[in-house]
Amino acid sequence: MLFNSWTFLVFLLITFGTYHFLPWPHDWRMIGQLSLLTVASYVFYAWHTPWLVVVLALSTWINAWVTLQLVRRETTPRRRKKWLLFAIVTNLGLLLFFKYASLLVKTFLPHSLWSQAGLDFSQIPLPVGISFFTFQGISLVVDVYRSGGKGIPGLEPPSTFQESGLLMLRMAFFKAFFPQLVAGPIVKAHEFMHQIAAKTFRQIDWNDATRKLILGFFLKMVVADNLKEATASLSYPAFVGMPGINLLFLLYGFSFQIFADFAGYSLIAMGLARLFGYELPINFNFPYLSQSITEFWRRWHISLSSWLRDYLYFSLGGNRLGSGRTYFNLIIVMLLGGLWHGAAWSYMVWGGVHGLFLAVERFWGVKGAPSLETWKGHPARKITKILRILLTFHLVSILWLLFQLPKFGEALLYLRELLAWHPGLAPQALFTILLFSAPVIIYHLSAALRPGMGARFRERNPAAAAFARDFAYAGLLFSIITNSGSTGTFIYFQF
Amino acid sequence: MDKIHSLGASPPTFHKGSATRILTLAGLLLILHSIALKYLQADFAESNFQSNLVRIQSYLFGPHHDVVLAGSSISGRLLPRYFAAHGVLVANLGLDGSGVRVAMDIIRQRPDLPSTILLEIYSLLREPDTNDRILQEAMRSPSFLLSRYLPVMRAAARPSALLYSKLKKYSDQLKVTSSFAPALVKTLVQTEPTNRMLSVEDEAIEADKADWLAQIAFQFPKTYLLRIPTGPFSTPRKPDFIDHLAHKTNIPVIDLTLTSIPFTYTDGRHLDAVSAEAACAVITDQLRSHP
Repeated sequence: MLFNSWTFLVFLLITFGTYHFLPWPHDWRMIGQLSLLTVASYVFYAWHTPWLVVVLALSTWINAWVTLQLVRRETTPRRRKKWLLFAIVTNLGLLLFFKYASLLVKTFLPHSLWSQAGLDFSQIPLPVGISFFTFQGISLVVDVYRSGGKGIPGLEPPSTFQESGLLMLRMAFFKAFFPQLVAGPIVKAHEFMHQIAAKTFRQIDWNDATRKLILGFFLKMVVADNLKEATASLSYPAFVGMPGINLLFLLYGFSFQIFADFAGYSLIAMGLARLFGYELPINFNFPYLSQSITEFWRRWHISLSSWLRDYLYFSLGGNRLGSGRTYFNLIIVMLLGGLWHGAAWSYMVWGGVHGLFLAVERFWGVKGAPSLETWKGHPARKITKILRILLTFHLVSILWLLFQLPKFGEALLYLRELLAWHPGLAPQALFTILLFSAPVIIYHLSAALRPGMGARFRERNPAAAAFARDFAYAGLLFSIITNSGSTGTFIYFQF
Repeated sequence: MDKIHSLGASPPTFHKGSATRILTLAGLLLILHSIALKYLQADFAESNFQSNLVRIQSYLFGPHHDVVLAGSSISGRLLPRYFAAHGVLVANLGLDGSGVRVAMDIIRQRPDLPSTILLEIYSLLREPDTNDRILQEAMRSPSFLLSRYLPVMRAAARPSALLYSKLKKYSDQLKVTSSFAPALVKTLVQTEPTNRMLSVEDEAIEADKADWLAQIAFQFPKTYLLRIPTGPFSTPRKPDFIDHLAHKTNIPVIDLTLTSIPFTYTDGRHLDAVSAEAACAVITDQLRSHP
């Protein structure tokens, strides 16, 4: 079910109304609400391909069962380790089978071997969002394992059968909660489990929910969907012979589109979660203001990069085993992180190149802490920062090409065509890209200006500042109603 | 303090009642926009898909038109206002990336059918594809159905379409330096019978298209095939076969390639504004001389 569909609107109204206004008995309110949201989430997931819900249920059951074993007092540390290993292997096994079996078989086994056996791995369906809920499952068991059997806040060891049942329900809800089920943010158990409680209508932070939903739907429906129509020509052979200026702006347009698509989805997920009394982690922090690739990964898809850091990079030893091992760890983590995005070697290369940049920047001592403090100072320093932002943006944008043109030959051809710089101009496509990229640029600029000019204005004219902000959000809502693009699937659904 | 406000985090000064204020202000903006739409009109949109919606909604939800042009982007350049300048009101269903078949389906959705249909030859043999499916799905969407009653939700009301339309009109006006006098040559032709043998493929197409065209000609007595010049980068599909079909179904052809007008193109395929105006003048003249 797509967030920007009428079906979802009806689904949301029914779920929201039942969740908040059904007269749950006081003692059963939390169980009622959790059960309702879990069932609703399974309906949400099953909407297009009902049987795939079995994969989600199986993954949930395995993780919940292992978690229960991990928090049992009688489980020895040695057994805990075995349970953890079992859970990780099973989680990754499911992911490998459904997402990568076809790629691996095609790449490493001779065609004759599996075709003669009548096996067609390309027919294995890809359960939507499997990469997201698999990572959440791993986070659940690893967080509990790391607690040494004490459990984590909201997931304490049960002492009765009823408590075990309630724990299973909490874990099922954690895995299935529909706002983040199919495209994130990837919620870690220690960030979410403690929030699970009975919720009331009065607890809803309407201002925050409204703001996130409006901004999210604007980025998705107005920016990304309209840009999608213009960047459709970023495909082979449509781009061949295209004017150089158009090729350049297509690249920019796709960068802004992919940001708006994914950041929009994350914001909608956060806004929806707010309506049910939950808070999801921030996923994007103005990534195109990054002055290095290191900083970029602290601002882009934060829930994934922090997952990779917490559960993979640290497990490999992080930076504790010397410089050489640190560079190796960075590259291997990014290679796997790239492959997480899709079952194609181009994604792995994409991740690998990012990893290489991270290693080189670490070698040079580049710091990646996201801060705009350095905007203060000498104009020459400011210019250097701007140049670094532009360089990072261009590197990132060129690498996005592999998302749209997964065949390396086509991506290289695109760059050759760009360098050839054919004369001319296709005004319609350029107009669309410029018009719908502008909000993303303004959005990032506003973040850059907020600590300085913005803060001074807010201090001097708080009422005017609040009105200006509300007016801006009203403008975004107006644009959603009047200027949305054609409905399309979210780019990140494929992951 | 210098840490920037993260995307999605609540800024500390956010007004408590701002959710209500946002909704109220958005409502006001919609009302103002609705009023402005009485004076603004978008003929184009910034994307092919939206341009198609502009044309479709204009035909379906607008006033009755006696003449409708059905085709692809090749016909899309023949704007209603060019025809109107010569005194004929024509609805244009020249759909970018689509063609005659979808346009005919749309034409039939109105209860008051037009009396005259102009069928663009270029997309006559085109088979349905993804673009057609996307358009048909869009026409079934609740937003599209709502836009019948809420003009503010129509493609022509999109602020981006209004801006693009304004810029395009301005740009076209800069290019128009002279107006053509229509060259009244023999453009309306009743095709002669062809003696050539049809290939197996053509026979299969004929079986499908001839019946379909005959049905159209039966439903719309004034049906014409329209051959619009398509420039050097475009190869018209099976011109002889089309002539054969026209003869077989007894549908007259308005063949603009037979005029002496030096047509020019924007991208090697589509007529530019000046040529499109000239083409409209010729078509209008032909429609008048063959009522």
